[in-house]
Amino acid sequence: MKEQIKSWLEQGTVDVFLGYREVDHHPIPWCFTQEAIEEVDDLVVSPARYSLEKIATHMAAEDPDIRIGMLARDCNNRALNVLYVWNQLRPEQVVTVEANCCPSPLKEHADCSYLEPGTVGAYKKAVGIDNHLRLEAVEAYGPEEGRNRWMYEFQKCIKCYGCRNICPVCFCRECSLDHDDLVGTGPLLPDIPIFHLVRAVHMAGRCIDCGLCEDACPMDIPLRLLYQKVNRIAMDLFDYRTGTSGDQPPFSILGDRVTLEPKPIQPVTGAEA
Amino acid sequence: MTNSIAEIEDAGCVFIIGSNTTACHPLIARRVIRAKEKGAKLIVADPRNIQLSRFADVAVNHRLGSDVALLNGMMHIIIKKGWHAEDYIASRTEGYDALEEMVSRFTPEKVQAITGVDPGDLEEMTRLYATNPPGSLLYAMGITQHTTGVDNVKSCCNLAMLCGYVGVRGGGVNPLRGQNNVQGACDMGGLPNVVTGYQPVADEAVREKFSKAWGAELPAATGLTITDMIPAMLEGKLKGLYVIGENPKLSDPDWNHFNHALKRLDFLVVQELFLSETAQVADVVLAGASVAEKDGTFTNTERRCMRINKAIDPIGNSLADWEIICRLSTAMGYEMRYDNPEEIFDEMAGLTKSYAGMSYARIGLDGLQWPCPDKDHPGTPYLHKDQFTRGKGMFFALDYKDPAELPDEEYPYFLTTGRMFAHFHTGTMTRISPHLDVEQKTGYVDIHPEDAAKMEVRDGDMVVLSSRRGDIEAPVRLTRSVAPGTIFLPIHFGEVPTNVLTNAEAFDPLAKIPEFKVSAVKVHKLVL
Amino acid sequence: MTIKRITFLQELLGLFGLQERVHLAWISSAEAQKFVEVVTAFTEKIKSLGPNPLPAYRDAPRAALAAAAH
Repeated sequence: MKEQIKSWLEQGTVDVFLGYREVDHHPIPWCFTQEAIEEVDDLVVSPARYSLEKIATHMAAEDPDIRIGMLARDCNNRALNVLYVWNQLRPEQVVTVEANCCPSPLKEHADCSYLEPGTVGAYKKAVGIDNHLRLEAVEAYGPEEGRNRWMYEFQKCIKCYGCRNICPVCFCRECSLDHDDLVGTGPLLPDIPIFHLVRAVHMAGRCIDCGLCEDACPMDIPLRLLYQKVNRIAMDLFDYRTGTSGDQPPFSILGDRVTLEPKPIQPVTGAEA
Repeated sequence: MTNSIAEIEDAGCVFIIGSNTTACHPLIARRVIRAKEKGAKLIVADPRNIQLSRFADVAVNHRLGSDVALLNGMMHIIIKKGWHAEDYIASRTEGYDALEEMVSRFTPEKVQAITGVDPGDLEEMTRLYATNPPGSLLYAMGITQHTTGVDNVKSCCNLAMLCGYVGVRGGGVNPLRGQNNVQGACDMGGLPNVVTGYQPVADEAVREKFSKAWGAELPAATGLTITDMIPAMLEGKLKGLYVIGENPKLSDPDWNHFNHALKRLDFLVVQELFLSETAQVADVVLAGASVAEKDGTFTNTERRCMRINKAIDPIGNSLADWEIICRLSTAMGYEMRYDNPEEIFDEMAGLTKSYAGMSYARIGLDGLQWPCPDKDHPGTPYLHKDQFTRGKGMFFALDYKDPAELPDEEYPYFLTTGRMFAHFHTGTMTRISPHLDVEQKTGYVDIHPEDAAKMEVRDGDMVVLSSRRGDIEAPVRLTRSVAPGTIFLPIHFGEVPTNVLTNAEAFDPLAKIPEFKVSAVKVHKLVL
Repeated sequence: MTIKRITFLQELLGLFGLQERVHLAWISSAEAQKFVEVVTAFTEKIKSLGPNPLPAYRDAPRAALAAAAH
C-alpha cells in the first residue's frame, strides 16, 4: 500500500494523499505530499478514523482541480458518494485506497474505533438512551417515555458543535445552527430540542451513519440513532438510500410520485399530556 | 487538581461548589456526567441554577459568599453522625480538635440562617458526600474570588480530609484552573514570591542556585501582586508596567479606579495577540504569536505538561513570547540566548524538582503529570498518596466571615460576575470568532423575573446598574438561573464593563484575589 | 411535496410523542364548511392534548423526569 501511495505521489496521479501518520504512537490524520514523501513510511492503518473526506472537501473548495488520494473505509466511501451527489467533490478527482471496515460475512477482519464502544452507565440506561440500542428499540418507547429519554439526553448538550464540525457531509457555507432566528443563542442550556432537530432534519439524505458525531459528542448524546431515524424516514417515504451511489440526484424533500393520503385527526389516546 | 480529570468518572460522589462546569470547563463536565451516568452521586452547591444542577441528586443555592458556613455545616453533620474517617484523621492529619470545636458551632439552623440552605438538603448532601467514597470535590472561581477565598479553599480541603478523600484515586480537592496554562504559568514562577516549582525567592539557597545557573545576582525582595500594584501606581511608586497576555482594563476590579492608576504610569508595554482594551492605551505594543504559531509546552489543570507544536510561522512581525523576552533582556543588558523553547525547558527541568524527569521526548503526545522527579518516573496522577507534601494534612478551624459588601437599603441587590460558555475571559480571542460571536454578541444582565417585575423591566430592556464605584448600562435577560435578589453579569464585554461595579478594595488578605463574586448594586430602568 | 414534508415531520416528532400536533388537510377556497370542521376538530384536539410538554423540560429543575426512571 505504501509503495502504491508513493508511486501515485511521485507520478502525480494525486497531488496529496490523505491518511494517518503515526506520531508518538498516535495515529494522526495526515496530508502526505510528494515534497515529504518519506512520511509515507509512517502511514498507519488502525481502528482510528477521522472524516478525511471533509478535509478533501475543504481542499477542493480552495483548489477545484486538486487530485486527492484517500484512505477509505466503507463509511468514507459512503460519505464520498454523498459529496459527489452534492457537487462538493468530483469522482474523477478522488482516488481511494480501501481499508478494512465494518464486520460482515464478506470481511473477516474489521477495523473501526466504533466497534469498541465504551460501556453505558446504569443511570443513563434507566433515564436516557443507551447508545448501543437498535433504532427499533428506541422507536418502541411510548410517547412520554421517548420524550423523557430524548430530552434527558439533549439537556446534557453544551453546544460545542462537535457533531457538526466532525461531520463529513456538513459542508454548507451558511449553517442553520448559527442562525439565531432559527436556533436560540445565549445561555446553556441550549435551545432544546430545536438545536438537535434542526440538525437532524438536515441529516436526512446526507447522514451516512459513520457515527463520528457520536464519537465526538462529549456528552454521549445518541446522535447516531437520531440520524438513523431521519434516514429511515427518507428511505420509507422517498425510497432514498443515502450514500449508496454517486449517481442518484440529491435527496429532495420534493418528490415526483405521491401515494400518501392526509391522515385523519385521531381522537386523543390519553397516552400524552 | 490533586487528582486527574479522567478519575472523576470513577468517583463515588462528585461535589461541585462554585463552578459552572458545563460553561467554563466543558470537558470536565463530560467526566462529571459520565460519573453520574455510571452511578455516582452528584451534588451541586452554587448561588445560581447551573446546567449541572439539573443532573444533581441534591442542588442547593447557598447565598453568595457563604461557602465557609455551608462547608462547616457539612462537617458539623459528618462528625455528629460519625461519618468521618477516624483512622485517616489520626494517622495522616493534625489540627482535628480545633476543627471539631469550630464546626460544632455550625448547627444546621445557624447554617440555614447564613446560607439559606434548608437543613434537610444540607443533611442529604452531606450524607451523599460522606457515604459514597471516594468523593471528588471540584471548585473554581466561585470559591476563590472572595475576601475569604483562602478560607473557602481551606474549608474544601478540611471537608475532603475529614472523609479521608485526599490521596486516593477518584477523590481529592480539584480546583479547575481558568486557562489552559495557568497551572503552567504558576509552575514556571509567574507569581511575585517564587521561581519555578514554587521555590521561594526569599530562600537564600534557592537564589544561589538560580544565580549560579543564570550568572547574575538575583534580588531577594519579592515582587508585588497585581492587587498591590494598583495602589503602588497611584502613589507613583510603580512607574512602568509590562503586561503579557492579559487585559487588566477589563478584568481588574473597579474599572474607574484602575484606569485612574493606569494614567499615572510613565510607561506601559503590552504584549498581545490583538489590540485589546489595555493594548489600545499602551505606549508600546509587542505583537505576540498565537498558539498555532509557536512551539513549547502548556501545563493544564491536572498538572499535565503537554507539548504544543507550531502549525504555521508567526504572521507579520509577531514573535513567540520567549523570543520577545530574550530580545528585550538582551537589549537591556542581560544577554539571554536560546536556540529554541526546548533548550529553555531543559534548563528549567534542571532547576525544578517537580519537572526534573521531563523532556520533550518523554512528554510526547500524552504529556506527563508532575511531580515527575526523575527520568524513569511515570508522573503522578494524584497527589498526597501516602503522605502530604508538608507531612501531615493540616486542618484549619475557620469561622465564617461576611463578604466585604452586602446589600442594603441603597444597594439592594447582590451582584455576582462570571463567564458564559461561548466567550473566554475578556473576549480578546473569542469575540472575533464569527462562530462564537453569533452565540452572544454583547453583554447582558441576568435578572430573575420576580425582581424584574419589581423593577418594572422586561426582557431586553436597558437598565442602569450602579454600585458605590460606578454605573453601567446593560440589556436585561430574564432567567430563573439566578435566585431572586441576585443578578449576574458576564465579564467578557468591553462595551458593558462589568468591573466598573466591582470592588478593588475587597480582596483576600493572603492571596490578594479580589472579591469579583460579591458586590451590592441597585438597578433601575434606563429612561431616555 | 407538502404531504411528504408533513409526513416526514410527523414521523420525526413521533420520537417525542408529538406527531399528533401536526395536521395537514386540503381545503379549497370554496369549502368553507370543511375549513370550519377541520379547524374546529383540530382546535379541540390540541386543547384536549393540553399544553406543549417541551417547555417543561427547559424549566424543570431536574433533567430526568420521574416518568423515565423505571
